[in-house]
Amino acid sequence: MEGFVNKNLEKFAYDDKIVRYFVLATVLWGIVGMLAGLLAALQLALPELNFGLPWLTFGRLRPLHTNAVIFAFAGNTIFAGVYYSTQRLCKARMFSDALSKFHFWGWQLIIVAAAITLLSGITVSKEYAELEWPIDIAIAVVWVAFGVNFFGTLIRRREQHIYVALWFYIATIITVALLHIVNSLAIPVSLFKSYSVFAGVQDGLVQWWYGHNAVAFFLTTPFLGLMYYFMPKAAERPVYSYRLSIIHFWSLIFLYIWAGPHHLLNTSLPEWAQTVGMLFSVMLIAPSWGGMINGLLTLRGAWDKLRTDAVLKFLVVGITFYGMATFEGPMMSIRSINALSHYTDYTIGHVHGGALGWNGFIAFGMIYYLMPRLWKVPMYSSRLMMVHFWTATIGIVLYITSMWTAGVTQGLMWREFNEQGMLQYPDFIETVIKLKPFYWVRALGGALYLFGTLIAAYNMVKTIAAARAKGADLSDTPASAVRFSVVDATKAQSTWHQRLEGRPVMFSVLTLVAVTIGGMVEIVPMLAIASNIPTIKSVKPYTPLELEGRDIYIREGCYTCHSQMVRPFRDEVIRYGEYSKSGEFVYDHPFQFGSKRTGPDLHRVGGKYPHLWHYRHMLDPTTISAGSIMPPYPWLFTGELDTSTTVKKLEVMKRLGVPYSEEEIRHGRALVEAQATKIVDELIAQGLRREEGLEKKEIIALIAYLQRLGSDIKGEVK
Amino acid sequence: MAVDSDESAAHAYAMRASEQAGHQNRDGSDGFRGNHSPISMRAGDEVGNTSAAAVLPNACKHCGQRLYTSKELDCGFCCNGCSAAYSLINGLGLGYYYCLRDSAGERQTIRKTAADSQFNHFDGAEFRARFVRELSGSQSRIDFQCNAVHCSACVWLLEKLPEVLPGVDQVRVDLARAKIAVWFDPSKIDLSTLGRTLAGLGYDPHPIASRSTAFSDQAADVTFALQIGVAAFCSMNVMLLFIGRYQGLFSGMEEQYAGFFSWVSLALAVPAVTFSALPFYRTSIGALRLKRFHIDLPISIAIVGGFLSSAVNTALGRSEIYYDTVTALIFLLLLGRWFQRRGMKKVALASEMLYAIAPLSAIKITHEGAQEVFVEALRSGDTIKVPNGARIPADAILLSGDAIINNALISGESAPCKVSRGNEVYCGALNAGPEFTAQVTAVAAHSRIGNILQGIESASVRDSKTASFTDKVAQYFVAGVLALSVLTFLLFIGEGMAPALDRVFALLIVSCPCALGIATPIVMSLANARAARAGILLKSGSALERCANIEKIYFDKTGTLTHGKPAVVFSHLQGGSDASRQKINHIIQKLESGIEHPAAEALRNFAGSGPVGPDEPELVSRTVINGAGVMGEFSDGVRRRIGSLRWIKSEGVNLEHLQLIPDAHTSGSTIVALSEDNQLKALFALRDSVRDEAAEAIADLARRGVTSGIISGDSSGVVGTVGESIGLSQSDLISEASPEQKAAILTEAGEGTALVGDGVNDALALSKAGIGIGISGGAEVCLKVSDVFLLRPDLGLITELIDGARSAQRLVRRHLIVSLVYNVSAAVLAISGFIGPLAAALIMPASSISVILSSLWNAPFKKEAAWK
Amino acid sequence: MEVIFILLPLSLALGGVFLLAYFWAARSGQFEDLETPAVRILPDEERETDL
Repeated sequence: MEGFVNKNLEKFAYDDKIVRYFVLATVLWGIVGMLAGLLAALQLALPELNFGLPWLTFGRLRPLHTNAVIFAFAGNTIFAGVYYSTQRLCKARMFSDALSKFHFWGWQLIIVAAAITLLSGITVSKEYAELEWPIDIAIAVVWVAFGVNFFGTLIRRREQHIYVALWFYIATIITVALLHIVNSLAIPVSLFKSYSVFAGVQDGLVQWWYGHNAVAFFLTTPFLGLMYYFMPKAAERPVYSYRLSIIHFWSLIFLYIWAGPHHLLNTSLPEWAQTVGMLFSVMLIAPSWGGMINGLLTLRGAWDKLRTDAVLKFLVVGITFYGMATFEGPMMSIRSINALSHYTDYTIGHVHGGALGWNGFIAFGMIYYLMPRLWKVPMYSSRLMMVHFWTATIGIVLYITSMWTAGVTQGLMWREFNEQGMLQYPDFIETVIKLKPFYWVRALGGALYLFGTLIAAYNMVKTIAAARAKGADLSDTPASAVRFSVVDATKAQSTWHQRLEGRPVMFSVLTLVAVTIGGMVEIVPMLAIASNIPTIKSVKPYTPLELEGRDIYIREGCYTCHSQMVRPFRDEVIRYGEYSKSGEFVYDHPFQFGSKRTGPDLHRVGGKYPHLWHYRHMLDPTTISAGSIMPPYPWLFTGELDTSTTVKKLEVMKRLGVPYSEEEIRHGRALVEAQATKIVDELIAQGLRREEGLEKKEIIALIAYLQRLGSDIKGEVK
Repeated sequence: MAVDSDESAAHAYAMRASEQAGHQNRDGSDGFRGNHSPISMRAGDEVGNTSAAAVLPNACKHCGQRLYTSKELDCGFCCNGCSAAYSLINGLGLGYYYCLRDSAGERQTIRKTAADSQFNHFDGAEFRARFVRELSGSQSRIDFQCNAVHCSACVWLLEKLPEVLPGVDQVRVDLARAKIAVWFDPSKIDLSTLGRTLAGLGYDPHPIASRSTAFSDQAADVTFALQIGVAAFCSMNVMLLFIGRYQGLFSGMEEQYAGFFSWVSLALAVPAVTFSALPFYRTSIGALRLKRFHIDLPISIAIVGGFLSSAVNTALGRSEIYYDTVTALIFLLLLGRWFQRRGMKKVALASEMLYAIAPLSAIKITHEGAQEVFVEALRSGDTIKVPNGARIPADAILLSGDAIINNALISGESAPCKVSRGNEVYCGALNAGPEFTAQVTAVAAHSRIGNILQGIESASVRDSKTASFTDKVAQYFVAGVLALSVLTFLLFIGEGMAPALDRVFALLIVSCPCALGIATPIVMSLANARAARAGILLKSGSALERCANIEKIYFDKTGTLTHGKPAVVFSHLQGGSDASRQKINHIIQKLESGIEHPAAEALRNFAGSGPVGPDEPELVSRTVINGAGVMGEFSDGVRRRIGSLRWIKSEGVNLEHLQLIPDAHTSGSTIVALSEDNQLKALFALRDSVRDEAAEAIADLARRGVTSGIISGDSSGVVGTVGESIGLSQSDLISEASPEQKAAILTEAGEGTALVGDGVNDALALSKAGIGIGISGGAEVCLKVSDVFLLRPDLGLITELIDGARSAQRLVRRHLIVSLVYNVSAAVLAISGFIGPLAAALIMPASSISVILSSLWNAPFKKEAAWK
Repeated sequence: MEVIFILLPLSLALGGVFLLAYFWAARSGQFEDLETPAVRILPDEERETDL
């Protein structure tokens, strides 16, 4: 036996360097994202922290925070875990080192570009997809590179069985690609500006079809894959029931794609779509909890390990938070509960329960598991890991409980009626003031969580230093496996009958796929235009000045605090006015429903206050409503409106079906100036001191847009 | 490594015993490549020279067994098998196995039995024809059954073989079925080397016949998995589309979307109706060819009818479409089938049963000397040698002197009997005496045990055909529904084709035999599961049904009514002081140790319990006289004998104390005497006593209207005494019956009679009986021949079985009545047009679910596990 | 709500792709043994070579 070498035995080495890169990027961007989050949280408690700087105001900081923690922190976690586990599950090196490097540096470049563009106001204003079209294309290219690299490794695997974690990665790669492309369908106006192909309610449904599935296929399925790999490895026990994991994967995948409408419950989305979304989301408890039970019960018979092992602590608590968040989600998608929780801070509590608890803890559990294996030295200090664990856990608990309370407070106060049948809190600011203490507690929770991450970073740096000091040999881990193709006896035996049987289904599914892709290609342009047949006569396209004002509204990220969707509830109709109809949004490319009401709903603000009110309010909100936490926008009063692309914008809108007449487009700039001077005259009439060149300032365009919001239908109702 | 000291204390605790003895001999070098490895590098462990936490000092390095004797302690192994395995594993460079095994918390590997066989019989052509599958020129596959495979360490070790064993291309372990599949290149490695290596590593390989049913099932399982997958995909998505449509009915939905959803549902229903529903079409058409109505017939008609009418309505733009009902029906029924498939034990081929009982290898004597060959390579006329303790490989005529054979496997009687030269010994029997040679007369399938097993196989095939109760009801139900639907069509054709069709399909959908299709299999599989927890393993749902109408039960005596092994019933010692008692215990233990005779075992149990004196004489030499007793020379010069009265008397010992044993114990029991020189020291009465719960069980059965009887190969005297002791009249006792006679009696006794017996030696009778209930002899062999296997030899379980079976039958009947009433009323409503297809579509699942819930709610057999 | 004409077929097409994947998986024997894979991933290659 000695000295015998099997001819099929192949020696190779796993690519650990790329995993080390991704692990470092994860912690780096984790800190950046959490810092942005903490600053944004503090800005809500203390508006002065906006410093009046355009690139640091909440409206631009929040998208940076969401994109950073989702695509940079969670993204790099996924890639680190996928690159490490796929190679070991397939017993093969990654398909191509070049693609791995391209994927890594490309993704980090995208993150940097995203940070710069978001802070400078270049945004598409679709939540979790705010990045402009050039970066969208870059993301698609890098994602395809990742897909090719992953599937290449899968095809060249030396282990026939595809472990369930790999199936979760497959689902992630395929679905995220489709979601990203569909939701980024836009026609560019310039290098930094584009308009979404869909409009109003359509755009809303597509966005939240993407939005929920980004959560599903970027923050759940890949992390379930990581759980199914790292939990058994850390617990040194097989997963509780492998059969359950297969069943729960396939039932999740066949159906997941129906999610989305539960973000638009009680809005102007047709009720049948809302009900489908609601039912589907409630059904989601089964596969989600199947995953949780499978993960947790992996530790059966070994629970005592939990006392001493930080990695298991993080993984187990992470999975428990997954269970909590996936129970909370379906509850919140029940229409009556949603009526209370939608637009309030309760949603933020749910999001961070999942993000900090599930994604964060699985990420740190994985990192603490990987560090000793990647740098070939034990973690610098296990005590620090325990400190990180407890700090972060307390941080999450503070964060969630404060947001739950704030959310319920908001929801109840908005709908409170006194005996006379009037709103108990007619003035929106009354609820905002009540929430300040919760914002402080949330900021504290976030700070603790960030502090935990900093401890982790310190621990990692010392560990790497120890490795370097010890001169641990960081060469790729050698491995060997037999490559062997099985001449499958069962296939040879299967009768012609069985082979024929599968044909009708394969055929019908293939036609289904072909028909849809074919249909997609012609339907999209036709539908995008046809759908704009105005269902409400009085609703007209925005004037050029209002369009420019709308782009400023998008640039400043007003949708991050204000919604434009009055729901058909008595309290909202009294507080805001006639509830919003889907027909009013037909020209909104992209839609501005918003998902959070830190500030009041703006869909009926048109004509509610005089121009001067808006002028002073935008300059310094606290002068108008005391205790307001809205940041001031001084640069709108100094910056000149850039009308160089106005004509191009009108042309693009026309191509998207918005009925602008030819001369309207040709005289776009003239129309802008005319309407601007008219507004300035009305401002002066209302008592503003005349200033030189006021009509050129951006504030005028914004005032024009705000005064137009929801006013079309008002004309019809009165 | 600036780490504060208190942490290292924490780490010492955290260092688990993953450092194996295997590491011990390596010096604890500090480099990472040293004795630390990531697994033991728990987050927070320290590098540096922490002493490897040694495995428990006195545990065998291979199997972890505690070591006792000084010899074992210093070499570190409990037996040479373990030391061989240990050196083989480390020799192959697979030492990581031990580290893996400990981290998986598996302290104990299965103790390695020193396999003496060299597996030469693996190399024969007949062996390869039977067990090996040729895939391509250089690639063949052989599968082994091996119960020693149980953890990640075993899987890793076996799947690493291709890297260390030339000629082996790949090894795949299947833990669930305890199977090892090996792909190898026959030109590079012969199977005997493979067999030896596997046995050497501690995994005794039992080859699986290549044409075993397991492989043909795999293709069927794949198709079924596909059908369920497609049905799930279609029904779940169609269901969501229909939720949208139902909501649209209430709060409005533009025509363009309703139509669009209708067409998409149609597209989604096509794969389900064409592919997933195939099993239903196949069974109903198959039954029609045999001019019988199968319960799948109305289901198939409802599916096809529902689909076609919906398709027509979709085309016409009408809203009466029920794709959701059709696809949900297919998915739910397939799910019910899946439960049924899992619960059903596979019918075993006779050949497989034979390998479970008879040996695979035989020692053939030719002019070149003794050779180990594959059993089927023997031809009648070859001479074979059977060593002591081995099973006889084939029917043969004795050549060399007399032999002591234990025929338990064939006749069921455990007492060994003497066979003289020239008589026939049977394949599968145990050679309890000295080694002998014999001339082969019949091999494998043609041997006596082979014929018995052949009979069993044909019996078990018959078993699955008997029409169970539900099939009988299905006949009338189906005929009724079909007649009714034709009648409805004719009655309402006047109002036009569409409304008439609507009523017919509403009727068909609403009258879906959900009680038969779904509830009955669930009741049965649930009852099986609950029964299993109570210690009763049922072969199939239909077995439970037949248990319900048992009228008469025959019990086998040895091992069923009695404990099967004799025990000391009465003992009389000369000079009853404690010292003499200890002396006698010591003598018995010394003389009887290691003898494979039931009487010896009974005496050891008796002596083992008593105290043993410190300064007892040592046994110098011992001679065993077969069929008589054992004589030993002791260090104090005294010659002591233990044996039957006849032999002790012939040795000249006076037996005047014989009458001391009360006659109540003399009848039916064997007397054993112990003598020193020629002084009688002690007398023992040994008898195979009746189980204490036997009488009570017989009484319970009588109260339930079930008469009992005994059928046994034993003498009528013994059977008589046992029968009386449990209150049975002489008429029910049948004694001195050979296996063939037993089988004949039971075949002609017909359906309503059951036999309770030992799964191995009553195999033929059990398979012929209306209901075979195996009480011992191993579940695997038993369930191949009988319908029921009791995990505990407790006769009380039989009454529980009958009660459970009857309550299951009552439950099924109740469901049938409920669903019949529901069907009739729904049919009337459907015909009268009072409920449209939509309402029908809602009622149908409601009734199915209610039936399913009620079967889940009050399933038979007590809820909690009755592990007494 | 005309976007449903795109979203729905797209979603079902994606579901269809996964159904095809399910077919390939079942046909190529991925579901034959649903217990050993969970155990097969446990051994660490890194540790084999250093003994």
